[in-house]
Amino acid sequence: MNNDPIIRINRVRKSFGPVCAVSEVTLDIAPGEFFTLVGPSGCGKTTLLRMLAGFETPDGGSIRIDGTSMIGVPANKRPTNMVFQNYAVFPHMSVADNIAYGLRAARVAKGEIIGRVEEALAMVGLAGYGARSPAALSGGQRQRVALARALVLRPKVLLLDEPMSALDKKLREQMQVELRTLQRTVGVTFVLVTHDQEEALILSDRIAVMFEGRIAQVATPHDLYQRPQSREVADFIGVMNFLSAHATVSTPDGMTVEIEGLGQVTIPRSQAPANLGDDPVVGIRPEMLTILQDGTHAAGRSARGSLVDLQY
Amino acid sequence: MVQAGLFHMILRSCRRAVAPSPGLVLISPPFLYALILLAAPIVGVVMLSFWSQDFLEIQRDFTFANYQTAWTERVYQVLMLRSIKVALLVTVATVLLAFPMAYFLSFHIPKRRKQLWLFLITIPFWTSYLVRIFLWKVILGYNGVINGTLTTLGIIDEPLRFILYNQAAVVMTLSHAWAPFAVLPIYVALEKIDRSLLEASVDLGDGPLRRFFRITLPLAMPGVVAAVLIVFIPTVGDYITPNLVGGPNGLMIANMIEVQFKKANNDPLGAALALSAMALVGTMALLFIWATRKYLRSPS
Amino acid sequence: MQRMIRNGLAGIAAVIIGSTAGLAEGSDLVVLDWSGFDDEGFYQGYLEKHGTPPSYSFFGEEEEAFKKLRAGFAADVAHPCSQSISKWHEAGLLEPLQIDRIERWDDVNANMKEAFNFDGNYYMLPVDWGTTAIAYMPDRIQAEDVETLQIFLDPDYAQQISLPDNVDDVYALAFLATGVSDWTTASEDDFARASAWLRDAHRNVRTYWRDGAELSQLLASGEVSIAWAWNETPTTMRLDGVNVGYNRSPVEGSSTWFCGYVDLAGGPGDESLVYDFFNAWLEARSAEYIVNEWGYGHGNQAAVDALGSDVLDAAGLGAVSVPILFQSPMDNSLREKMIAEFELIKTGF
Repeated sequence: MNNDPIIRINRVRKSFGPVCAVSEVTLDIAPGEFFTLVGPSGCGKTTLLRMLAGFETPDGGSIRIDGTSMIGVPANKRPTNMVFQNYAVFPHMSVADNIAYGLRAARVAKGEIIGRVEEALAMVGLAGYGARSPAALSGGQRQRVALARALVLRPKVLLLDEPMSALDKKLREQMQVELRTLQRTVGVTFVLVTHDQEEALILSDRIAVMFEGRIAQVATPHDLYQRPQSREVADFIGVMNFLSAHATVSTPDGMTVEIEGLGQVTIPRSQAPANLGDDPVVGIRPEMLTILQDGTHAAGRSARGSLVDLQY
Repeated sequence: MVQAGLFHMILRSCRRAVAPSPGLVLISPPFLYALILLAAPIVGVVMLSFWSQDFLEIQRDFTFANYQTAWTERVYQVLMLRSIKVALLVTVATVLLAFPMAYFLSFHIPKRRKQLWLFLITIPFWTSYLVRIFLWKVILGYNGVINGTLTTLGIIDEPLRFILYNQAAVVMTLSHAWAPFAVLPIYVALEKIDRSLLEASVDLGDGPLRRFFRITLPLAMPGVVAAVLIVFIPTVGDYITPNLVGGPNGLMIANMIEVQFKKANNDPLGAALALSAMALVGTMALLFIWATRKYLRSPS
Repeated sequence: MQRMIRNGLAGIAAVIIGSTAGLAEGSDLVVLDWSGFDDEGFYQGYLEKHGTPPSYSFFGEEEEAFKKLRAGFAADVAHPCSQSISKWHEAGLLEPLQIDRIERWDDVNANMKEAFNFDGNYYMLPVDWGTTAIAYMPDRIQAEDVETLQIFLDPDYAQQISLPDNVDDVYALAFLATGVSDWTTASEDDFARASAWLRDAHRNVRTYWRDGAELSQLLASGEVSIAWAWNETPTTMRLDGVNVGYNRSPVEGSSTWFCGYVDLAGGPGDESLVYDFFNAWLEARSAEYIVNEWGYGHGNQAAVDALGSDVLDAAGLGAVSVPILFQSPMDNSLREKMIAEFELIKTGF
């Protein structure tokens, strides 16, 4: 990831009437990255993706893909391809014709088309399905067709708009694994849009969390989970308990805070951006808590409590 | 008669689109209705076509003579071909005019205005078919709108006579009369196209024109087919329009069928002509449906 | 008006009216008539006697009425024209008139009533008639040009001519133009000559007119300048202030058609009502009304003559000195041939 970014988004704005969908977004995405835009619905992530694809025009700012400005470049001339939320598999064409669609648009030679379609089918595990009609395919198979149809064109960037939202949970988990593997195999930059933070954490190299048209934080899944930079990000990613506290002691190694009802807790410096005298909010991931027998606790890292309910 | 029979055939070809019925009970009243008012008269006409008539007496001896007359005599051949030619021209003109209208309505009118536009398109239906034909006479007539305008502008000295009372006038009048019937099914087909398919087509590299021919048109074909059949089939059997604006060379087969049943006292020949026209139109309709299926299957 | 709606559309309108109006009210007499003939001016005597008009059912063309009656429609009297009577008679639809119950039978036009004397029985009471001759627009056509029927063949007037879409009127023209003024005696050769003449005339025809209103428009708009027309058309056009010529005296002659009432066999109503209706029609006031208001002749010849030649000439009903082809019944087989031939000619064969 030492190369120049494949996508440079600089101060991009977009409004629909009075509604501001994307405001002043600046973002770089590196080649070969699996990058995810995550956020609640209406946060502007899909609009941003559609501006990358060329289906929406930014009101201001610039988008460069592979060093070329995309302003004024129509969707059919961009080095991107997209997997749509409902896959948009052409119902009147066979699977093979769907996959060959872009190759025919690019006027690739007939013989080459056949080979590349076969290759793409094999890549998504649909070898032998070429002659089938999309109507005879399951949701997961249609998604693979959509993937093959986009990847067969060897795009610089593959855009995926909520590709898993139409699948049931089990299939979704399976497809997530396959998608990740596929991305590593082909090495193409993937930009995924999802509202599912779990999916984002599983799949991505880096994640941008968006709220109300702006980016709240860009980080790796680990950092995002462990070191959310704001309460809204912490709240959105995973489950978090929020507790009010008061900072009492600050050392180079960490900070000791007084948490109401829990007493004093020392937090490593890297996870404690607050200053002495602040009234920070302390977030604790539930899975980081361990329930200990009375009397076995360690001083400064535990608090006394009573168990009132137990669920499996 | 031609029309009734062919609508029946369309119904049959559309049956595949209709979901399996929840019960025979539900369809039996309309079915009985169709049986009595559609099937029974057709059976009657079929029987009649194999009989003969001597002035007023129907002779019930089986004969193919009516069909032989219907298919071999020049006058019936000419009228049949002319009817098909006129109907084809009307169909092509109507569908070519209706498609852009339906396209505009579906793709360029904001959703909340579509109802209003549909309503506006149906306004011509509020006036009787006959009134609309007469309006065309006013437009195309010797001192009509077109001639009046051209004369006033000094483009012509003498009013043009070749714009009314010929086959072109029949084609024009029928095309206008049937346009809304063609717009509506095409519009419905276009509305049903998932817009993301169009984006996908562009995303995969197609410009607007290629997208139209590879995605929009094939997916709108069910509507186009419906429009073609709805316009073509009844137009072959139209006899009022040719009577009113066709002039001496604009008469069609249905005019001759009417004559056989009325003035000419030859009901069996009339029946044979009607059934021949029906068979011919039915065959053409089926060929057309087959051809469009074939077109849709071919890769593009 | 009667023949105005002989064919085509007006006919369709009339069927619709006919199927909804009529039978529900009125007295017991059921009249199957041309649409528009329920005008009370025609049968005031009947109204005075019975208080209510007969029940009317309408038709737009005779073939339609014929089919309706054959299909079992029950009516007491009907109003066909001369060319249909023998067909209706052969179909067994008619019963003979009891002429002793018709008060003014002796005043009825002799030619017309005798035309339907079959084996000593009369089958039709003529009530209305008219003439067919050349109507022309004087601003475009010189009067001397319409002194001969051959103007219909003149290439100078191509596309300025309209002929009736009516086999009887059109063949009346063709027979007259080829020198036959009595078609009851026409030979095969006469028929062939008339058909050939009609074929030539067809080339000049802009359109065949189907009703008087259509013809009025064709003439008034300039679409055509010359037509083979019924006298009612110039009469009504002049009432509208249009200057139109009507020449019943071209050298070859012109034609007369007539229609009347028939007593239908097995009618549901009382026979005495039938004759009250007939007698009301034959009154002089009915004759005056139809001539003045409708531009038609009337079957009561004595009453028509009493109106004076000025009135009759103005209506195109007066006496002329040229041959008159009287549209009396002809042999059914010749008429069938005429019908078939006319359809061929219209199609361009």
